[in-house]
Amino acid sequence: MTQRKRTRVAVLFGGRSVEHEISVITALQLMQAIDPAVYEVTPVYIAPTGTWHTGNQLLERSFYAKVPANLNSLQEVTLLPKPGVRGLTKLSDNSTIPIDVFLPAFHGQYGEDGCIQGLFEMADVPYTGSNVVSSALTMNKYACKVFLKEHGVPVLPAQLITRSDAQKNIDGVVQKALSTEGFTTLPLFVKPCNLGSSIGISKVKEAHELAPALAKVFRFDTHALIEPCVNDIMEINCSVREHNGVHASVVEIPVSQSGVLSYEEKYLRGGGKKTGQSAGMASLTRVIDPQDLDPDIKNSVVEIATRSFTVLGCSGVARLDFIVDLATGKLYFNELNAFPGSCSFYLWVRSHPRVLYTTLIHNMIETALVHHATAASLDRNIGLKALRA
Amino acid sequence: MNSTALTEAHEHPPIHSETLGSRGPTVVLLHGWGRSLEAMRPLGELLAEECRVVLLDLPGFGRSPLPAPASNEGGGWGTFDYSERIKEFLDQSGIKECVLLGHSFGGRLSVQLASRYPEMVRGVILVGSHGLKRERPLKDEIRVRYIRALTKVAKAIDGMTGTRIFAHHLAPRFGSRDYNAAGDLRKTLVKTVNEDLTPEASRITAPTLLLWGANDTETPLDLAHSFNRLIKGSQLHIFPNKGHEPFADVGCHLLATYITEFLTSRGLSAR
Repeated sequence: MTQRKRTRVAVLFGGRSVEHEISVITALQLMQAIDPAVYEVTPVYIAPTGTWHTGNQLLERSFYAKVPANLNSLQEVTLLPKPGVRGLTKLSDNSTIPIDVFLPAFHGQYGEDGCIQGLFEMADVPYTGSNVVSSALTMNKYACKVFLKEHGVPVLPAQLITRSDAQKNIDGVVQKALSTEGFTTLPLFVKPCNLGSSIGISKVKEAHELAPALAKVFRFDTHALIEPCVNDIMEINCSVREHNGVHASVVEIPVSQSGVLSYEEKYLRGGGKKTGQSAGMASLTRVIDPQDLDPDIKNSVVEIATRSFTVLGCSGVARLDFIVDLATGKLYFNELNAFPGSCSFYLWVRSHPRVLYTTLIHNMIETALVHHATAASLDRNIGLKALRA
Repeated sequence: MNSTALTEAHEHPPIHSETLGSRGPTVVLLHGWGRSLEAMRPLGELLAEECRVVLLDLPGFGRSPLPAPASNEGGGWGTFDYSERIKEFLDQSGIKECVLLGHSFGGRLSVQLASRYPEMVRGVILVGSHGLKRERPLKDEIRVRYIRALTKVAKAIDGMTGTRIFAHHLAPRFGSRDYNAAGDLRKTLVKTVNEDLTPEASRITAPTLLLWGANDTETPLDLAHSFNRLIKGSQLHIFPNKGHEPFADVGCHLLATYITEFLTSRGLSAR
């Protein structure tokens, strides 16, 4: 077997997010699909405490059953915000593990919201996925809706409630929420503004349930988003990716057992896998590329998804979730996952042309290297003039 | 277009098969021991985009009944018998040319078929394949000889006294998982396991791709290297952190990438 020089890719996962475990599942799956002849993978696990670790033990799923006890068997590393290092720094001796490109496989806070992307920018290293602004904007559900509404994307009305306002005057906040324009009737959905994976979501059917629902959100987030609940609803998701242009996948209809997809439904139901282990989003019950879906709805989803991805400046692979009010036939953008569970590979493998997961990862890395080369070609140094005048 | 079929021969029960996809080369997927076509389905589905994929349950597995001669009473089948039955099935299905993709036990059969019918087998893909005698470390060799001697003695005593020492004590303790689960296929298992297909492998002239998991303990890497030496021009890819079924879960995407590339680079994809 001939050995070409492989691109060294650090796959980062875990992190200080409530979606920590989902990130581990996504990353383990991704590292099973990446082409080892082209890429030399360095797994980097960020523990819930925020410490960074590397070691080949991280490739085994069984390793995580004994975290944090067995973290001692790993090498602790970090990424210095210093251009020119081009790799991870071992904390034990300050030596460098050379890395050509970083692949953040995080879901949620600190990994999907612009934080780690900011560190990559400071360190001047290539990284896959969306940049700082796009990641931050898409993680904040309220900001994302307001932004996309400005670009003509249909969204449901929304009310933003802060934890501090709720703490000061919960009755006032409840009144404010209930009188929001567009909230004509109950039920309402109350959800964290900055989280994904359906964590902390409640469906409020009576006014008195609103305060406890807000309290539930404020366990996880400082901002709560309240939206009307469309009773007769169909969810439609579509993945969009950047590789020599922007492309949309086929659409899917996730099948919910209880009206709203819970964290358990999304990640713990297992989809009937023989192993009993969750395979993340790839195992969810769903209808991919439904043949009987109205082509007008399908085309609208693809068009709006592609446009939203573009105006938000996203890169890599994202998944955009929509809802259709079946009573009115109206389509609404719901949210965008800048790094979706299972990288949405299950949609791409059914798309036209078909994209295998191995290719999907390969294309993400290629695009990251192109973006970094483009950024490097920009003139950032105009010299010290003002200080020398 | 996908289809499912039961193809019956005159003297043998039918072979259950499914065809996925309709264009490109015909790729026949042969599964491992104790498995069925379901084990190969995810990989087959990915390949079906560019190939006509034939998934089949090998005789005695899945939904293909066990032919009487392959049963313990019939004396069991070797890879020769299996390959003849598969050839018969392929002829009846109108398949004149194909690429064989065999995993583990299915790899053994692919080697036998490719060496016997080079005009039919245009390409071979072996994934964690059996078929060659392994050189055992001295410690393992001593253990095997010890077990064989014990078996001989136990069977002799059983024969003379009517006891069941071998079945009740030796087989559960020393027999492999496959051996103990083989049931009516036990003689077939013993026959095929003891075959060394070195001459057959060295006769393969079709382009051959060898795909192996670096952590494979069933068919360790030394087998991959032996096949690589024996089959002229064969191409070996070893996947780190993968075991005996490198196509499991999302691994099928990785293997499909390599298989598609192999078919294209060897001019097999246009058939």
